[in-house]
Amino acid sequence: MCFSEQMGAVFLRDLFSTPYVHGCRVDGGIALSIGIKGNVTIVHGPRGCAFKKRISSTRCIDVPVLVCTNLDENDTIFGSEDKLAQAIYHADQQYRPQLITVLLTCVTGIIGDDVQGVIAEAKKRVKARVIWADTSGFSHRDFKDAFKEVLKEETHAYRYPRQQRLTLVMGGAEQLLKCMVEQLMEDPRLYGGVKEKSAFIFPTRWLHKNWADYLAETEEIFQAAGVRIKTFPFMETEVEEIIRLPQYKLNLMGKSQWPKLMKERFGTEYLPDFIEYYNSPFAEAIESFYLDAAKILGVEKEISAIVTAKLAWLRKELEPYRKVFEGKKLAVLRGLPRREMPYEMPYLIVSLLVNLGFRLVYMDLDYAHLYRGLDRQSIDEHLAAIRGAFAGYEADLELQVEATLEEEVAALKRHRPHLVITSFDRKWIPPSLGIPAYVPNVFSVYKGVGGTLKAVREIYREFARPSFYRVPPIYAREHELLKYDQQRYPVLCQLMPAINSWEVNNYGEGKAGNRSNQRL
Amino acid sequence: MEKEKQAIEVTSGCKVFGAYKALCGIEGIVPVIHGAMGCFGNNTFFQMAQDESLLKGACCALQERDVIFGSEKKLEKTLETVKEHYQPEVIAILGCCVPALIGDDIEAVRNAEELPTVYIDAAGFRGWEWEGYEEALLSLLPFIKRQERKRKSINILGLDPFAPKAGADARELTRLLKECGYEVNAMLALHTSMEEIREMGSAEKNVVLGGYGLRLAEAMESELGIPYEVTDFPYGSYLTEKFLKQVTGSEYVEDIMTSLRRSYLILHRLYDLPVALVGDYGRVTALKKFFSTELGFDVRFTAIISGSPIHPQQDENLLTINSTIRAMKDELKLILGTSFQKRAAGELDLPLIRISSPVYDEVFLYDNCPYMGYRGAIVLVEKIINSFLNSYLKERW
Repeated sequence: MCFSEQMGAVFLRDLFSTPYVHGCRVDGGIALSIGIKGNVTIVHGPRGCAFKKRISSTRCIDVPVLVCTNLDENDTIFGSEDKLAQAIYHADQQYRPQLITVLLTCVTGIIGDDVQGVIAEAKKRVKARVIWADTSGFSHRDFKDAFKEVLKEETHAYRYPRQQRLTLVMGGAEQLLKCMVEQLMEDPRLYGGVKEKSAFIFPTRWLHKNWADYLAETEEIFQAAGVRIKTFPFMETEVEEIIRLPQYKLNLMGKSQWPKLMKERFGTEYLPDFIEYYNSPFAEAIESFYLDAAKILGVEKEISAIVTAKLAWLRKELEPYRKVFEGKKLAVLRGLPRREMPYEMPYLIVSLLVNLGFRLVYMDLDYAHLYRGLDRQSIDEHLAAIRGAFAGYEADLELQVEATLEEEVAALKRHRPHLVITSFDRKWIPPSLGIPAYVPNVFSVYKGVGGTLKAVREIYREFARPSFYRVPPIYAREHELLKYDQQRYPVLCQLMPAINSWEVNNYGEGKAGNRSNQRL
Repeated sequence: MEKEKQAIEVTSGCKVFGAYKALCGIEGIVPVIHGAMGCFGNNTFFQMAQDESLLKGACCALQERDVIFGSEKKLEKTLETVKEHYQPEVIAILGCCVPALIGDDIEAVRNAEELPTVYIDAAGFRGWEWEGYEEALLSLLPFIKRQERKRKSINILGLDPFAPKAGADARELTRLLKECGYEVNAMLALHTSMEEIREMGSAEKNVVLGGYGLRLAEAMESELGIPYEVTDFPYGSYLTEKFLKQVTGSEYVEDIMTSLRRSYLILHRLYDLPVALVGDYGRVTALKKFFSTELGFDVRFTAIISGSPIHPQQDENLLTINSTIRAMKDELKLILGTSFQKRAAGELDLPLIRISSPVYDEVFLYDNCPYMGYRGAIVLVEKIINSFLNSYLKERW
């Protein structure tokens, strides 16, 4: 078990992914930079900006080293350039890093120091490479516009999975990646030019151990086809490797804006990877991913043979499960609204199960946290796109939006599914009706051939558990004491003013309660 | 000690963190973080890591256009939202770095607001965490009514909901004071209502734990004639007895030895135990006395990560603190500190008992199991003993 799977880290990660603990761009910058071996991050701002950031919001570990320039009033008046320079020298001498990453904060974003000049000067005196990114906490776009844009893009992606759009701008991690392209990566001609038949995967954040397994599998497949491939596990990424990334012909995980920038500067090709259609846990997508990559790398024949064999093996492995699952009824209960992956997870897992013969009979989706910022039309279009994605499989799917607990229980009683896919906070509901429940790992969807098999084995283990009935646990029974919000279970009613205030303030003008629990 | 001039690894938060922890435990007040979204997230994370059911506050979530065009409109909108969803008695505006730099006219927004508001200039570059706490408590002064004083009634200042065992310690102090015939009028800043704040003027005196809340106590003395006493945090039987005597004049004592004698042999073994103590000024000074004078520990290293009005100096650099602990590798057997010592404790394979904020990796659910007071002395000794007994013994040759 790696540390990110330990229960303590999981508890913290649950807290970080709730819709009421909001990070800023500095969090994203730190999340990315701590995965680089030999890096020291300097938060250039007042102490408070570095204080909470000692706990990485993605890894839920305390950041080993996080230097802060600790700005005070004088620095805002007379400038903080000297302090930044000293911090860079101090970090270089104290920690002997290969890379120093300077992250700007609100204060340094406003007072307008010549950060570039300081760094240019410092570079002459330090051994480490130095880069900087403007991660000012205020430098994000309007949430309302962003959510609308994201939902539109996802809707488009559900309808036309091969026509990905790339307008999504991520936070601090994306900003830092762009800076790495501009400030760290070097012209491949310095190293003998671009290597044909070469590719890399650079995760924008390092998540679960499943990522490591997935990266290993990808390496194995490409290497077998004669492709030189580089992947970057957490804490094992060497700075020199990032510098030489433009040597590779293809960026296999071209999520967001930085691959575009890399293409502009160095001509590096990329595969768009927006809703993770590629390498999602079902065979067609895995095949598409490898074949699309193979076309660019000129190894179609080799990859096609390897992937075909892999998928044939996967199909053979899955066959016993398919026999068991064929015709069985499946339901999906949405979980706690999350800022990350609120939509893709059910789609990917359910796609996998439907491909294995399950009949999807009921699905409950959640847009509650977006309502105030979104017009009805955008949500309707998104729902229709999801429905369309399953239309080929099921005609009698019941799709609900933000069903209450009572409505969810009623739906399960009505449909009596053989298995329910849900999240940890609702896992008690199906067993209270004698139905097994599976909770996918929302933090890192299983990917690739190995991931697919792993997911199916886990699902089968839950499915095949001896039939059991378990009364609801005390925290679910004591509604009167705990007072859960019925629409957003398990959020407590007493947290709703804070959540409502946040949403109204940031997502739009609307009022609470325009929920439309309609059957579509 | 002068404030660190060089780059540091920070040990405590900025002013807004201190102000938020002073106000979020007061019912009827809603703190509004007038800053970028990360400023809000920093606070809510530490708050919810201690109590998932306590989330109070709102954030203006300032963005680029607010920096350019001013953030007054955003603040107005946030105040409206807060009024609609919370129905607060008072709104506390905590001004962060961005409005402090762009020079927003917060006063104009406050003047236009019908509901009572307080403003705390909590810009991170303007001070330390404890200064934010002091200023936030001081901002409550206008709400405290001058009134007839009730005998044997006191206000306690210096607690906050982010500290380990905060709820249990508050309950223990209330219990002990009651045993001495005293009633707690208001407990700042934990589970307190605005009504209790208003009634603070009826107390016989203010008790300032560890010096925290001193600014408000001083102001109440000069404005309302209410005297105050600064006391140590009552850790251990000696400091508890001293606390009760100082505050109430009573010599009330409870027997802790009947419980402790169940581990009398282990207690003997713990004599001269080398420990490191890291935390805020109030806790470190009081616990040092408890460990040294009552348990016979050898407190080899102390670090004050957050100061107090009676001791503004603080050890600011986590690098220095943790490096010192690491360097003492073979000398130490136990660390009492914060979650920020977790990595060092793990590397040294030493037990870590969290006694001071910031704590994000331990919850404290049972409010009858304090660290302060007579009961707290037993609980703390039990926790220390078990931290050794529970560890897995790795056989090494």
